[in-house]
Amino acid sequence: MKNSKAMLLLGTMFKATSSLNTLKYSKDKKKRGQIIGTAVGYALIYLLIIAYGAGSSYGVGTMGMGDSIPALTVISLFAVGFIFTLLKSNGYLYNFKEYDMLMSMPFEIKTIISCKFMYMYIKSLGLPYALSVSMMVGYGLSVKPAFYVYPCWLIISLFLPLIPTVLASAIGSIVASVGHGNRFQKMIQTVLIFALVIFSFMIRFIIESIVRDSKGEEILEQISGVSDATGNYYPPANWFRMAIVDGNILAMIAIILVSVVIFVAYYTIISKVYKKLNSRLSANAVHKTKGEIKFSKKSVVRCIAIKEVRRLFASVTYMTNLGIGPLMVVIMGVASLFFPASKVIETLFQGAPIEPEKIVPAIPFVIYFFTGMMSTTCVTPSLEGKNYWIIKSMPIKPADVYRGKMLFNLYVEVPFSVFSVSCLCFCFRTDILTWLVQVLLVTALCLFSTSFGMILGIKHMKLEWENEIEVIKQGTAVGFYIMINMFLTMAAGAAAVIGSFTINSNIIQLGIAVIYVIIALICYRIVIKKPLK
Amino acid sequence: MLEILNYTKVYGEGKKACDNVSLTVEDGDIFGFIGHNGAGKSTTIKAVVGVLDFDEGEILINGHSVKDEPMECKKIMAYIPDNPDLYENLTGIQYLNFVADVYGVSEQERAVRIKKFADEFEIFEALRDQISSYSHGMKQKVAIISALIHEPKLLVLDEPFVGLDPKATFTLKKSMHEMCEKGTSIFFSTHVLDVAEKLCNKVAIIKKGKIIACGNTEELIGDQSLEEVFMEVANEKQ
Repeated sequence: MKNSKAMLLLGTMFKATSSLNTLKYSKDKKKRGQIIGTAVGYALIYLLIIAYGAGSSYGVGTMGMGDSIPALTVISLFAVGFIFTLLKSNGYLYNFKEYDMLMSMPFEIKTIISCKFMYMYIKSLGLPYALSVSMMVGYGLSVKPAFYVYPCWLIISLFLPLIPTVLASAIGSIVASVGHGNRFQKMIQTVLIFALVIFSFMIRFIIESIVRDSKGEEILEQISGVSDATGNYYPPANWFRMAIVDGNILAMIAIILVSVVIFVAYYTIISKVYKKLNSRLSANAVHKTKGEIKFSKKSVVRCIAIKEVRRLFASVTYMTNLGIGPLMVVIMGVASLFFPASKVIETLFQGAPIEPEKIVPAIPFVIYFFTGMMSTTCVTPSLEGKNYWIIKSMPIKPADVYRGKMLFNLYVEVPFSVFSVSCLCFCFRTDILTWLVQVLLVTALCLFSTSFGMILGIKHMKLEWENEIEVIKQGTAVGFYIMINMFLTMAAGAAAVIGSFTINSNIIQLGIAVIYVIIALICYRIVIKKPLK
Repeated sequence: MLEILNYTKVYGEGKKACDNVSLTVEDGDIFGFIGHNGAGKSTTIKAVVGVLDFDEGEILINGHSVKDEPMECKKIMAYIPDNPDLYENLTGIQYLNFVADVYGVSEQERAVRIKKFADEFEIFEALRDQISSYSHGMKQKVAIISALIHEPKLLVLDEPFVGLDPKATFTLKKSMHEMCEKGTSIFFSTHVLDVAEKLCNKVAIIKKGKIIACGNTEELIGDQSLEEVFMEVANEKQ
């Protein structure tokens, strides 16, 4: 009975957010078209991931390090599973929209928490699974293992992200309970999540630096050294290697069993404090804010931008997903003030012998890669959700609504980008003209990010969401934005660097900035003519 | 059926949302819970239905503790929140089937009950559509039907008449009477004092987290209206 209830709940959760249900029952042709478009977009993204992963692992395999691929796969899946879960687990597991409904029904708390976890896990499995399958393809092509390896790999890959997901969720639960009763609870939670994510990135750099400091055969030794060390500290990596390389069936069973046991232990422990934790979280929402009530007048556009700022600070999920890029560039910028340019290049480009002046044209693109990797304009229209009527019913011009939302994105992207570019220019000792061009270019990139993101945000607006994560991390607009923006940035960055070999880099960068401003203006013109949906 | 004994809920920074609340809902009672906005009605209701944890006191449903035996309590109870957050991507019938499955209602029984209530609330045809396409009132109707499907012994409703059209309001009131005649207890919060006066055999008035009046409706109001008594009591004890 318990299991059937869990299956019923899990199945309903999927049905309740499944596009298939909308395809089947919705009469809205536009909505159906959007769903198909999204599916195609995601298929393309996954194809790229698979191509990248397969190429990387094939490269590692042909270098004679095939036996290290399983451990590298585990490391990759751990990183992806851990970081991505850290950024979203609290949105999935606590204070979700239908919490009251589920808690008032005859479900064990254990059933609710395990179903919510499994829902999050299965929904997030696509990326790590695609990565693992691609590593398997590379491994298969380079090592040519026995046939049993493939089904074995495919089955274990379903369980490999479980431990990092549980670990990140457990940390998320601790973070959720920290700062209870404090007015700054959300801020404290956000800072903690940021700290953990940055720490995770640092681990990656530490591992890379071990490999980077060596050459040729040493790298081979170091990679296998890293995989051995990983196996010592994280046994599933070792077990996976044993299962794949040695065909050890016990190792395969060990991974599955240990993962499942850790998962069961997690939800059993959390279920004891789950209701208390959610009650505390909802209690925080009813805190009375102290201080005087202010009556200040602002322009409509600024008023909407400020509203968006408040929306950002009201959600840990939103803040952690949007804020990570700006935070990283600030850290990068501040750090660059204390290190010589050669050290910065070594860190960013993994010790490749690159002269500092060759790197300068890439600075705005590197910074923008972080600040512009996500645009708030992709999500703000959808985040209005059920409150969209407020704006729609007010005497505000649609153009002003969009201007306000775009202004908010500029608040998020421009100051941090300009600050970091300036720091890096100082680090690389560029002249004032170069600094000015770099600042202009990064601002142009942010303008593009803002207006282009807005077009996608309006086009793929989704107001009926169960959880804001669906919009912030899994929205169609976000998917398209990330893919298109990433390729354009890479192409423009490459053009700036390669072009600077023959032409003055300032001229090239200025040219690129002008192109971006023109595109941004075109997008802006399109946006302000759009009516409110 | 429902006993709330010295229930106290403290929110962060020591604010008491509910302070020593005690009341009893007998079998077949229609119990109205009235008070200003923010008086503590929803906080009490959420604790009764097992959504909100609480600090002190005890809540018993049919003799079972909400804290210690939540499943026993939830099996015989149904809850309709003030603003029902249903699974919007599901169709009405998919949602009702989900609830019926959770409570173990057989196919035959659910077919009869869903048809009966959906016809009464004039929503049967719309059950094929996704909930996201429903108006607020239609969502409220689906929430009400989902609460009635398993014939609960205790029905807890938070502002149930908000958003309902006059016909649906009448139907809900009729259903409430019918259920009480069969022995079901109903505990609901409302701001509509006229409805409470006509519908409830018992009422409690809560103010700033404390019960300031509780008893049989007739005895409590005497020759006055409930509105007059509410204003009097609320002002008196300020």
